[in-house]
Amino acid sequence: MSKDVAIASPSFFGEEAARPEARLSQRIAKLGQLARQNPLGTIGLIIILVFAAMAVFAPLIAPYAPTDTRAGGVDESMSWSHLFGTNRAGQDIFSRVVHGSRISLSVAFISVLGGGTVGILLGIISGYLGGIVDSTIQRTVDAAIAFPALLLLLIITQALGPSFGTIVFALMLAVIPGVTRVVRGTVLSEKNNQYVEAARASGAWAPRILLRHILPNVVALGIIVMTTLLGAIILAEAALSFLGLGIPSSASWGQDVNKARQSLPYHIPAAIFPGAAITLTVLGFNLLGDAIRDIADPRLRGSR
Amino acid sequence: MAGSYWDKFTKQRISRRRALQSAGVAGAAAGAIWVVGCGGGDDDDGGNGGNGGNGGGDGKPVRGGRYSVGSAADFDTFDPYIGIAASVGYFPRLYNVLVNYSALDTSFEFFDLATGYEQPDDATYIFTIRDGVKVSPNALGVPERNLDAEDVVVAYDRIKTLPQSNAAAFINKWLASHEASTDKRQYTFNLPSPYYFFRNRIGSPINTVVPKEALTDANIGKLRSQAAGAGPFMLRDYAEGTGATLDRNPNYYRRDESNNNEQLPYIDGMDVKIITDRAAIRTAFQTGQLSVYTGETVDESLQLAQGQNYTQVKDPVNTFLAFTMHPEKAPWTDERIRKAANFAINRQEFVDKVYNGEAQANGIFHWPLGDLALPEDELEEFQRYDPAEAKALIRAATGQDTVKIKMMYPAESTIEQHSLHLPIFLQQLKDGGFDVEEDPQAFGTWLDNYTNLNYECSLALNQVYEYAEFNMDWQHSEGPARNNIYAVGIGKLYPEIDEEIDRVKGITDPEEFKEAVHELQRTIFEKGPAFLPLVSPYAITLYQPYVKNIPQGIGASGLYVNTWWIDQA
Amino acid sequence: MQTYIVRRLLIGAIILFVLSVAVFILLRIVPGSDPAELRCGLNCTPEGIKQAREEMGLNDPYVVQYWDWLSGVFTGDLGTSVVNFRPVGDSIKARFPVTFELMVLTLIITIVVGIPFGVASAVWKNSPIDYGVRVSAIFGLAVPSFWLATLVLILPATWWGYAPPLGAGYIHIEEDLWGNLKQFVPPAAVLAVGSAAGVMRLTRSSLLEVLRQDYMRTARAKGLAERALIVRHGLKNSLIPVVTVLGLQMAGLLGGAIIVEQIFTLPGLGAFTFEALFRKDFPVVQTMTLYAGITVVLLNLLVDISYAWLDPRIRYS
Repeated sequence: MSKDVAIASPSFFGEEAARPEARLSQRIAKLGQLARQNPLGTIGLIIILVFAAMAVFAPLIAPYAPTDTRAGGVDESMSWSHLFGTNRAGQDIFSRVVHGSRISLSVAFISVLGGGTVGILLGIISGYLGGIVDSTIQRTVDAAIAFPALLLLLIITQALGPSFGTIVFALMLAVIPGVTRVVRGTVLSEKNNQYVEAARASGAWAPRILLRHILPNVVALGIIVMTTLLGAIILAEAALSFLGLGIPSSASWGQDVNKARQSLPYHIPAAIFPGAAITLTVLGFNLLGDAIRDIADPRLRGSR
Repeated sequence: MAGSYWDKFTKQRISRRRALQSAGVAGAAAGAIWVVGCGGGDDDDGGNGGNGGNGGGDGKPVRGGRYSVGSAADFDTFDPYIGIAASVGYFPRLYNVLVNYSALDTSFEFFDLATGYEQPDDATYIFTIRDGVKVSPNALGVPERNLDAEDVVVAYDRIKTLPQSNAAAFINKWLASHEASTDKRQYTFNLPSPYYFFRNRIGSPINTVVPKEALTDANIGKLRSQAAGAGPFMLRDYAEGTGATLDRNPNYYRRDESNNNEQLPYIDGMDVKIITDRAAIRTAFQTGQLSVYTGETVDESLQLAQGQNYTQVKDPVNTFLAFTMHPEKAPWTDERIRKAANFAINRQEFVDKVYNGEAQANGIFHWPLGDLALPEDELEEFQRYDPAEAKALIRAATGQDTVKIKMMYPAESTIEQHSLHLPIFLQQLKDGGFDVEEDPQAFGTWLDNYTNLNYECSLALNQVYEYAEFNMDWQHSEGPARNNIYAVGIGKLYPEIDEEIDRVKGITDPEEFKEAVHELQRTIFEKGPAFLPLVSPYAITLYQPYVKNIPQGIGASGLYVNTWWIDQA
Repeated sequence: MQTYIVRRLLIGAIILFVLSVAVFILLRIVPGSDPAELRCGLNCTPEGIKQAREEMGLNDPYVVQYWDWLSGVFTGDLGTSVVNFRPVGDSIKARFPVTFELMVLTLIITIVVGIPFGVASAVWKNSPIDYGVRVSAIFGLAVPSFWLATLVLILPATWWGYAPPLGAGYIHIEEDLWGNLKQFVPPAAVLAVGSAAGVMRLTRSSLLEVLRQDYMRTARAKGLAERALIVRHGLKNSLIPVVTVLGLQMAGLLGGAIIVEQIFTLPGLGAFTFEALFRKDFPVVQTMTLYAGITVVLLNLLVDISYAWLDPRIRYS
């Protein structure tokens, strides 16, 4: 059989695995094994899934609309009708936290995916092509890294006016340089490894080299980097919201912490819960990112 | 941070209320639109009115001690004719006015640089200049001499050259001519016509008098960080971003006649600390680092005061948020739509939710103005919470059940009350038949558009209005400062309203004025105002127990009164 | 080594040039409040704005404006703030000690807490200590600094009536050591939570990496006493990435920790830059960006040079 079909063949998993049900249960068993070996990562994954579910099903989970100022009285304590109490504007804090997950997660995912993709592309181009293209891209990246990140974010959000699009755009710009640099590093080191040299020597076509040898490594690295970035981006978005540059009239967690400061110390739940939500979400991503990195560890050595 | 960490500059422009409130008096403001002052004051000038402070229960005055104040905004300059930020609250500390009147207490009269005035006719004031109002030691080279009438002439002449000055509205419009007598002991102010608000304006912090040597070309630039005046305090030091230190002016002329002619002020000095973050100001007060703090709401002050020995001074606050509609932009050109908005607004909801009951609804005139405002029963007819009526008006005007409007607002506002009012307000509009297209903007952009009337409708700045002139001018086509800035008055649609406003301002008899101003309000209501004040709250200012004999009940005039003291015992 | 340094500095200069031009253009093309309007004041008239623009030199062609600024920088004139008309250089001089002290204190706490715990965590891998460190580090990285700063400031005030000196300006260390520490230790501690967490993890993974190497295995086989020596030796190598990260953290902190400075009312460079940004105080933002860029470039260089000390195998040509 040709190489391309080999992976899909029944013999890949062993003779007993020839039956489909067995294959599935084997895969589940493998996953379970991974989970047991990485308890922290599993916890991280669970946390993320909880928040993701919160984000997706927000309207079903939240008892009130997040901007409903008639949900309850002002600065109410926690109770059964208001799990986390109400804030200064009479809005239900629990509903706001639930809806806030939509903003944090969507902003984070879109920025990181978008920025990460661009970064990977740039890194590959830069690393593989070398020469002037490489130098130009690298110097730009260096300059971008030298630019104080918060300053860049502030300038952009102030210029374009605060909105979902602006925040995402600004965060993408913040993500790209770091990813580019890391990916370029990998591409460079892979470029020099012997398989590639051999392939080159035998006259193999360039894109093939890219696809076969470099891309898998890069994508793997990219995924790991992006998972780690998600946590940082969530914090960045919260910080921006805290500074007043977040998405207006939204239930953004960072903004809620800021607003709650006006009520502190008289209404601690208003500040605690959004802040705790941020912490937990970032925690989840960090744990998961760590676990993924640990699992992929052998691949990573030397390409930091 | 006070409101948010957002826009320091505009915080300066808007939070002067905050700054002046911290300056030691709760309540209203003196002077122009931007100025907020607080608190009442104690006056003892020759027995001419004024309330007692805490009525003698504070014991005998003690000399010494320093007073700490937190300011959310930095000083921009010590030039009173162009200052618009935190500095304004300190001009009464550094300089002198001819005479100050309180908008809250009509019996309060504080003769400072002048000892009195004569009025040969309704449009002329001849002030007698007091002897011995002596300039403090200073680093600007101004000699330590007595102020005279020429200083007043030079100062007010200068305002004429500063079109952007807050005081320009008053001087350019109402100073027809002025002169100092040859012996410089008399200052004559000629108005073009009688003006009801003259007494309010002349005593404003932005009409204080700076010695003429400080206004020379050489010194003008230095006023950004230095000062020279004959007021109760002198500016010892100013560090940008950090704060200012004021010390007692050793040359200050005023004595406490009720206490052995002791020289005033009693305290050795004031330390103004710039703390941009509101939560930090509150914390600093709680931990004894500040002498005074005004809560954003009555509740906040009460909670802070629980179990503590702070002195509480409760006063109405002469500020309000307003809803502005651009009368020349659809659909607001139609008076029925404007009136519909008024009926859609539930002012009581703001009172309950934002201020927990410690506020009252406003008509065109805010309620702290007392009987100048239309009485409540009359207001009911023009402005009550009636969403059904709102919808009926909309239907009458458009034939539809709802009308589309576009409302802009600052996305993250440093104006403390904005973010609290906004969600409630949007909900009310929607319930009243308005299909609101929200247009959030960056604060700077919003302020730009708001200033240049580049919008259809919006919430306004929470400005401070010590006296009724601003309420009137808000309805005028030229706007509250009569310079076409922020101008959304329906005078733009009805020139007869413009005329009426100016006519009423010329009535100097208080009874006649009151009648006329009531009639004016009715007329405006009938035409559907485009500027709707919402509610004005109370505020409680807290003082550390060691601050004694605090001025009360006279509003921003308290800034001029210095018979209070610090007793650390 | 010298050629290496010179080359790095040259590249750094080019980067800074590009950076300053980029900021310059960004500030001017960005819509929003016109700084001339802000400077002119609240009751500004169109003539007033025109005059303000003249004064601020905003009507000159961009190249001229840029050259004005650049030549000023080289002659020591770092510009004048268009908001308060004070020389930027003076403001920087006044505020630098605040930011610097905050950075130093944060760094000290980070190193003192981060490295020992990181080492302990690696050496006793998978022990309770290891788990404890890893979990706290993960939390430390996840907590938003503005949230922590808020709680650190407000809660003690409510519960015990205590707060660090607020609005007191910079309490000079030589005048009042205790006051100075009261002012700086809380914000430094808040900042250090995040950076120490990062350093702990990095030290741990880096040391583990080094300990895994072949020469380590051989040495381990030789016995315990050697092991201690090797751990120390390995530590030096493993610190390379840690130093990189510390360098980056320093650079970031030298730029000024905006949020923490504001919450604790420290008159530092971060608050300064932030304000200037919103007031469209061009000269200040321009100069501060340059300053931030310089700190990053210089610190990166210092860090790279320190590699040579840490790992004798590394040599630059």
